[in-house]
Amino acid sequence: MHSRAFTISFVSGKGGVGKTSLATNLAWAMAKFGKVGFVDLDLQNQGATGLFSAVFPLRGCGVLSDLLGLSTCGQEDTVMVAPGLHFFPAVAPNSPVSYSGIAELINRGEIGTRLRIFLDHLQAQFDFDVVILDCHGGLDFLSLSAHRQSDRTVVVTEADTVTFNGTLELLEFYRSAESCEQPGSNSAETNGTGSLDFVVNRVPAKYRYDDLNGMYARLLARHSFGASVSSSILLYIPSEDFFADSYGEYPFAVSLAPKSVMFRKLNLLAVKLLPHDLVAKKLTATPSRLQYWTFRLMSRFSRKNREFMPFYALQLPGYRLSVEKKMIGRGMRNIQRIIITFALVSTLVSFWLIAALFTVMGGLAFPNFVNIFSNGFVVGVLALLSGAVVLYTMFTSTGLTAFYADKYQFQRRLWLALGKPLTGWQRLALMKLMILRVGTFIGPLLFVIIGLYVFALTFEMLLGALR
Amino acid sequence: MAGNRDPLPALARDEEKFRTRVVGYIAATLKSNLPPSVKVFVLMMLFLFVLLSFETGVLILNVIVSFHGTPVSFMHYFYVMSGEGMLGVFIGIPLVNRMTSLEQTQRLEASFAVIEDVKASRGRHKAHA
Repeated sequence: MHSRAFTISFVSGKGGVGKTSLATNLAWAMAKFGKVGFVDLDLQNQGATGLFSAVFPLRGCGVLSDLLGLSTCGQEDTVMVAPGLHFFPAVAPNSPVSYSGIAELINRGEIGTRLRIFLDHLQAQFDFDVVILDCHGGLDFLSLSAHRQSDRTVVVTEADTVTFNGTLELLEFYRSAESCEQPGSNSAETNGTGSLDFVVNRVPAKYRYDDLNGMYARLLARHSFGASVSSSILLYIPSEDFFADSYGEYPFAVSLAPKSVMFRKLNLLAVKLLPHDLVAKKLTATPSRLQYWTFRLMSRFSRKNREFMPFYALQLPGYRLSVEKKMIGRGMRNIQRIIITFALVSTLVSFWLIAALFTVMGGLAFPNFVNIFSNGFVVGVLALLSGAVVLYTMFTSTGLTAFYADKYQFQRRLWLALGKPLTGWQRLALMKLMILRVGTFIGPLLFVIIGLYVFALTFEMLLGALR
Repeated sequence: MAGNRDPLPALARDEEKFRTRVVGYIAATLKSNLPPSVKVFVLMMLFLFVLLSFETGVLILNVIVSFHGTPVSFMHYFYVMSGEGMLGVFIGIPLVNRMTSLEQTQRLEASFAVIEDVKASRGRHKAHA
């Protein structure tokens, strides 16, 4: 008899909050720790099935036919969509959805039992370490059963009133379903601990971590959700331009942007959700700072280390906290930041050019002018200052160049990951991004070069005046 | 006779008036029930206005004085200005962002509370008092 896999289900009170995107990417991150099974339980939308079928050739049976007892999923039916990650579609390819069958199961009160049988069967067949159940958004009995079968249930929500309403309804639904049943009567159906954790997805950049976390802490403290509900938010995931753009194109979008905040956040979520022993198998002890930096250096040369680097770094409490709190960063920048940086750079550069102009004109008009020294000095300081700012913004998170560099990388990786040769339009789009990337680098650089030239002129004049 | 008058008391009076007016503006802004981010913004604008008026004075002085060959540079003006820009960007904008976030979160919490109240009025989701 195989021991039960650690089961995590993703539910939400409202559809479209990003359950499937989150679950698929998280499954990809978790597959580094063990054998993961990903089950699409959204029989209506079949979101994950659609997402995977666009990239991978799906075959065999579906979850639905297994639940209805029409067939059973075997080894040959599954598709390994990533190393260590097996996917089970909601419905078999070319097979119609039988709503009447599902309705009958619900009416007979058998859906939970069938789901448990299905999960046990999966475990006997595949011996998974982790099974992820991607449920339908909203209040339905299959997701309730999934919640009951799970060791951890992640309620995905968003920081807005509409989703909040739905989330409260979902909790009420679960609570009333629990209170309806007699104790002990559903012991066969309930295998999980029934704990609920919250993930706030797509947090707009206008909210800071501390404010939002304070608000949710008050909210959770105010409600009597019961002991099984965690009293804090598991994770805040910021809204991200690239991921929004690539929505529905590729299941593991996060793997295409390994420097993004999203990547780090999902790795953190994986470490937080997985059972301790599974994590401890790979991550033995908290590294010291020296060990961390050595490992980081080594990860430049070793592929295995490189793959494991994010998880290793997460063992550092400081790094972990920074990932937890990070709302905006590399690969996740809002347009406000870019505009502010651009304004700062252009202001500095224009001041500096005006200063240089005054200096040269002043120098030409009054060669023996006493203030030539101070002008030269000031222009020099300004040149260094603005040059530093320009260079800083070009290479750091808020710079336009870095933005386009990331965008180019992400887009290219995405199209290559889809496994088809690039079309002419795709090449053109990539070329556009490359031009923007180079242009945003050369533009400010020209300013720096011109400024240095003017500075040299001033310096020369200064020497002339001294002579 | 204007020439015979001591200009100092008048200057002192102007300065006093100016000071009370600026302090008055600051006090009025702080006391008002404007949102905190607007308060910060208004205070920053006031600060900038005072600074700019001071600098304009310096600039005009510079122009007058430099024609008399005194080694005072225009460049200091730009230098100071860019310094202020940096100050504004590195202190002012994060400050305003912070206040805005706080305000938006409070607004979100208030709208959540409305939903909770509606549900509580239906006899569900009773919040702790």
